[in-house]
Amino acid sequence: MRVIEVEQLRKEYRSLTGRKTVAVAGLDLSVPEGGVFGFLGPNGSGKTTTIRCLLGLVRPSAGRSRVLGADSQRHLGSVISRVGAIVETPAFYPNCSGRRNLGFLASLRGISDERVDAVLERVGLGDRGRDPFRAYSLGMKQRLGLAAALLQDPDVLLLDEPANGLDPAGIVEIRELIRSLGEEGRTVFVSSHLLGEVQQMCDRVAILNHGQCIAQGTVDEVLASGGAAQLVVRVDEPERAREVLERAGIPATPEQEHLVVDLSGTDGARVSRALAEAGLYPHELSPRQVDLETVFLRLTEGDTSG
Amino acid sequence: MMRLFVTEVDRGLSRRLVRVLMLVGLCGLLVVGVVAFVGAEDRDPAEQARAALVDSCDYQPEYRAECVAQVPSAEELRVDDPEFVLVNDNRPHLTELWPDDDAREAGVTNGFFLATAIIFLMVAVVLGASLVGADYSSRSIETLLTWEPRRIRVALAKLLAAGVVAFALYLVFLLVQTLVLLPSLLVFGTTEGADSEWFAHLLAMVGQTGALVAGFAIAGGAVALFARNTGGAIGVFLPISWASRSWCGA
Repeated sequence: MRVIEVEQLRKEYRSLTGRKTVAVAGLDLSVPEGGVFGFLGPNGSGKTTTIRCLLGLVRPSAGRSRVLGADSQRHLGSVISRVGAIVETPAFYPNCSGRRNLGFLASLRGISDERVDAVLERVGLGDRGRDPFRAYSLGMKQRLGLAAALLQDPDVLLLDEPANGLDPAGIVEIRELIRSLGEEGRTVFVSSHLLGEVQQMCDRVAILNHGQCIAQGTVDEVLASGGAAQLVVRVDEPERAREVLERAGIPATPEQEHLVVDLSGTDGARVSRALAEAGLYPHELSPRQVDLETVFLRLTEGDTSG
Repeated sequence: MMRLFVTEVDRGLSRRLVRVLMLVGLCGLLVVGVVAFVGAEDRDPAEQARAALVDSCDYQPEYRAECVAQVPSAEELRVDDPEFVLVNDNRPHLTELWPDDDAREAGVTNGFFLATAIIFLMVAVVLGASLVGADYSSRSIETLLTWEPRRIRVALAKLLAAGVVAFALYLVFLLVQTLVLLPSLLVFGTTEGADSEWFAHLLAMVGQTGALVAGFAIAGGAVALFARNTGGAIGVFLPISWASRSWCGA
């Protein structure tokens, strides 16, 4: 079952002077049930607008989006009790405490006070729940937003930059929380620009650029689409080793004191054999993993701004 | 829808603005109660009328003794000039809460509830606009819409809650106002003129102005809903609420 489906979604904003800005340009997206789905893209690539469209907060200019099979613009109300969400920096009533703010939301669905306390505890706000929201740091606001999203024990979570404003310890905590939510069988759709985090917590990812999806699949599939893995070769005579490899049809690039071999069309054993036959014995042959950040930068052509 | 409405009422009553307005209002009413008690007269109205005439002799100090000697007795005044006695009747009257035509003819000029109603028409606009507008200024409307995406329901619940909160606060204020005026009424006052017709008039006026207060809160909230801020709504409706004081019979 597809939990989130987006078909040819387009959203244009027009300024008062008639200037048109395309935030999302014909986006197609499909998110399967269960696990953590990362939604990546540079600033201004349309991530938040897409989430807003999914939640019915903005009306798309064209295309359609569905959450749990319900059209986001017309029938979201029928499934909203199964959806939890954070959009940008969570906003609550500033003079009310975090607990009271959650209490207002809880009363919309008849959720008990015990559940409110439990989610506050789960996001690490158990002892700050009675402080006014205005006194919260950005990280605490994010945690409260996450608590609100978890309050009704949803099947689907749409989280827009949930780690925004968190300190490193907080980021790890939230990563583990999101990971555990995915393992519980929920579908967590999380937008982020913290690529290392996404790689560690997501099962699948989609990369967005200029309002369009440019890569989508499991993390491994997307990593593979970003280019072949490389091999770092440390040897005593790097220049002669490069010539040996060239003659063997294995292109190698010198990099500082070592060589980097592109593993497309070859493998580590062939590199090792070619060098050994020439009397060169490498003291290090190590794979250089292509990480999501590299793939992301390659696919978005380096136009990230944050 | 009911839960949404109840939550909005709950949220409205939790707002700092509401609490501050209530505190200021209650303090104001307490002052009114004290002033009414301290300034109340419990003398016979004819005695008060005679005292007023004696006081007026002070304007002619050289003939004061002759002037005072000519002032009729309280009994004579009661018989010969009942209208003058009425005008000088400064005892607290129950009908002062909201005088009807009969009470006005009988010289009752104060209208405590009437004054509260006029003030509340303006307070209602601010309250309604603020209850709705604050959601936009704090962006909490987005959080709410992720829980209830049906905007029409949200808007109706908010406007209805604004009206109900304003109406409820208005009734609470009238009740408190009655309580703070009660000591002066019980100790010095009179229920003269407070017949069934007056009570019917009082209930009708409270109902009518209560409906107006709720309506103004809803209107203020509606403008804030479209303008997506509080200030615009207050700017539009505050002058209208002031101009509409004649609807309260002022």
